[in-house]
Amino acid sequence: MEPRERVGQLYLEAREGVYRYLLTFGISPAQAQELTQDSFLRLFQSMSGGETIREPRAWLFRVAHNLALNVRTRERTCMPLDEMIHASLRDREPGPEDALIDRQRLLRISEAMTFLSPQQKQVLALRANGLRFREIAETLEIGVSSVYEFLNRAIRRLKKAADE
Amino acid sequence: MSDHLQPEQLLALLDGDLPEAGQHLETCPVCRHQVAALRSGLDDYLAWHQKAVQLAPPPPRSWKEIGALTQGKSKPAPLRRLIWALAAAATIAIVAYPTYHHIPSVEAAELLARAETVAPPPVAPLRVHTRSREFIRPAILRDSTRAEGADIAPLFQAARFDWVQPFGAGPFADWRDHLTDKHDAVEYENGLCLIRTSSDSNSLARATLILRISDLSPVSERLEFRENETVEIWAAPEQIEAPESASPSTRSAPKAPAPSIPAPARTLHVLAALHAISADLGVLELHDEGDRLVLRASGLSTARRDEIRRAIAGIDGVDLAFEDSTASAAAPPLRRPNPKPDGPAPLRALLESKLPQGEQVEDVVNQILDSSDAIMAQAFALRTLARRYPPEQERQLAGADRDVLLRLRGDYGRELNSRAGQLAHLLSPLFDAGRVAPSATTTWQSDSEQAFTTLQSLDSLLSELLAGPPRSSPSEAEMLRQLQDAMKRAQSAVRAVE
Repeated sequence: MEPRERVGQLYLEAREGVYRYLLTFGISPAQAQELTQDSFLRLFQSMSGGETIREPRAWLFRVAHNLALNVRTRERTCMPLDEMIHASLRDREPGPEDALIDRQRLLRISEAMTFLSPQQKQVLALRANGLRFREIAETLEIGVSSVYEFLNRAIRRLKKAADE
Repeated sequence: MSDHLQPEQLLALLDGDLPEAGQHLETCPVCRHQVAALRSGLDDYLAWHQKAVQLAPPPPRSWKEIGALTQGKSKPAPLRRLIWALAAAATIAIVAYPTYHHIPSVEAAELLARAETVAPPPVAPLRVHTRSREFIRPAILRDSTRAEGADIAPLFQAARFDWVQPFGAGPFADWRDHLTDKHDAVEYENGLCLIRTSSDSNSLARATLILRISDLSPVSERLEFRENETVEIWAAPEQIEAPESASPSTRSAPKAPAPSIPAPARTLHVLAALHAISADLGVLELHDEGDRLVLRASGLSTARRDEIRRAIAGIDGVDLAFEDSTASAAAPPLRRPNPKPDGPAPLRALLESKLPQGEQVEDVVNQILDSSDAIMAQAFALRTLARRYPPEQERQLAGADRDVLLRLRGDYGRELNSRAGQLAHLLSPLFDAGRVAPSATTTWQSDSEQAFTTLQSLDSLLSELLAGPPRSSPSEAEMLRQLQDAMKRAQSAVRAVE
């Protein structure tokens, strides 16, 4: 498959996931969208240049991750996604679907999310975007056992909050 | 060598890459529990993530096609570089704007379509305000001829605006779509989005729908008819009845008589009552709903519910909404494995080298991290109090109520300082935190914000240096310096709120 087709397919599948992952860094939606597109453009450029990328999805998240870190250190950031989501969940009126999912438990998890460290949030967000743990380790440039550490501690905090 | 699965193996198992571990799980309850806990925790997170996906702000512009993205091929042409530079400049300007939700130039039609997709139709009863009166009606009328407000129904019919279900993006969009001439305006302010549509030909001259940007749910609607009538509609959540399918324990307690104390002071008294029984650290949620305060909680034991009922029994205007948790029973306690971080972990190794004989580094690390958790809970409670009572609100409280506020924040501040002292003691094998001067700002509210922020930074650093390798590879001395600085800043901020 040609690079344009491969990247095009991935673009349809993963752009929303990359965009939301970027929002967790507390950058604006406009900037997250720009960085998402920039990440795909870089993937296309690398593939077109003959680079062999075995796991383009993980590669993409890694590039997006680094771009977001650059922006975050350079510029003023906004409210991180988890804090915004918690505020939204807390303030919105319960909808019909909320009866099914235990809104209070979700609210407590949501609140606990705001206490997690950036690495813990990143591990969880990448997992939710379908990355395998080995890919998460590559994306964050840490070892798999460190991924375990972040995951385990994050889950302990979330469980503690959820079961309170 | 441990008989249990190593961290890498546990994660490989969750990825489905280690089928042979299935046999081990059958015979090893420790690993079985650990895998179950990880799966269950990930499920909790995914439930939150799915909700977050729905509530996350949509991208402000349409996605470019991949073809447009890749036109520059491997090297951006000068023109393309210029476009990217301009785009970057534009995004910097957007970031400089202080609110997260600012979404520029999204057309009304697109916004309404998104709101219809994302936000469910409102189900709460509606409060309707006309020039002459105000009344409550259901979100959806079953019999529009007999319901209150039937006298204004003809106005809606003439304008082709749905009176049966008049509130939200759906009916607004339906009305707007029928217009032969229309003028739209979209404005954003304070986390809200105002869509204003006017028409020269329709009997409804101008309609304004206000949406919450974070989830595009409707906040209010204002309809200005030509017949000198203006109708305002918004949700009246305090009128919500418990769903008929709910079990008795999920229903709200009977409503108390009308409140006899002002709402701000009432919240304060509830917080103080909850604080007295140690129920104020994130277990319960307080919501202002109309002129009442609703206290929601789930998963509490019957004894704890009774304790809370007794604690707030003397405060009028408060409704209780206890819900049964649908979650499965908590997993049995786990023995934490003893994973080793990848590569050298100098701070952990350093801590281990400084511990007295017989103390396990894993236990001490867990104590430190748990201590930081407890501090964050206190700091969060204090920040919540500070945000509920900004200086202008505090000034409006009566003297006795201000005393309650003073006692409450004093308790939080003292507890925070006590716990920070415990954390400093736990870290004493690494360094002596010493005494620091308070770094007070102008108000206790901003001191509370500062304390929360600095403690959050400390918590992140502890997590990074003790539970995983740092992102960069600073020297041991540099890591110690970073941690010591963070601890000093935190102590200084915490002392300011004492």
